[in-house]
Amino acid sequence: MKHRAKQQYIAGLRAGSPVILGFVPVALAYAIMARQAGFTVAQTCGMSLLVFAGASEIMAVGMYAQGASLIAMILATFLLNLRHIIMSTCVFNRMESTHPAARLFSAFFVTDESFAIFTTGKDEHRSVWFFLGLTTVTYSFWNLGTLVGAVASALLPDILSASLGIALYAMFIALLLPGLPENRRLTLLVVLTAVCNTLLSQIMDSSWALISSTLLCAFLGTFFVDPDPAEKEADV
Amino acid sequence: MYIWLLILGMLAVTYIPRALPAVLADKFRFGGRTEIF
Repeated sequence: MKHRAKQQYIAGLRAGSPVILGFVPVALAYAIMARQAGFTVAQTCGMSLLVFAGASEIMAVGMYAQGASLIAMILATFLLNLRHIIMSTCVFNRMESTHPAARLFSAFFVTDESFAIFTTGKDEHRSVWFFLGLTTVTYSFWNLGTLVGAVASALLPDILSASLGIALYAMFIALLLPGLPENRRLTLLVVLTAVCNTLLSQIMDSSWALISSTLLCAFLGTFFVDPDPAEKEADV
Repeated sequence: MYIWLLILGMLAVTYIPRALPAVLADKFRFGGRTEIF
């Protein structure tokens, strides 16, 4: 039993290793942005250690730099992380039966990347040890990248660290673009959200404009955005 | 202090959506088609 757990853990470590290439640069960029926004090294690392959600961390740091309120930042984080309900459900439906405490512990480490790797394998069910091996890699390198970025930010030239602020936009665009070419209505919804956010920013605080436009357009999207074409075919 | 409050708030609103399915996974099945996600 112990031997199988060890094998599964090592298999998870191996499966997670390609993620390092993507995680470290984004973690560096997050840490540099956080330090620029006024976070200390401990706060920068503390957020990565306790929250472990890259997109939310970068968004929160960006909102903090713009002077957003505490409630706005937490609410925006909540909205962005609602997707974890679906990802975590898929992970635990696929995981072999295990102790509830182990499930609750593992839940902290569910991210887009660990979800994608864990749920796309050929096995119908996978061990919690595989998941823990996988997330050992993602969690370690996200936090290592954060620590290096937080410490190194003081050493980088101002112009270089300032330019890393673009990482926020680059990351969200990278998340968004793959789904757009095949779905015109989704593209329209994205444009509508951007316009809505711009207009609302004229009459309210920009962080509340972001939350309001996200909620409003997500609600509209439930009525007129087509499901994914592949999913549609599967339904026929 | 303000930033630590932010971090704790973010921890709560990030962990809850992750942990709910860990407790209720059996009730959160999507007709056996979870692999599409």
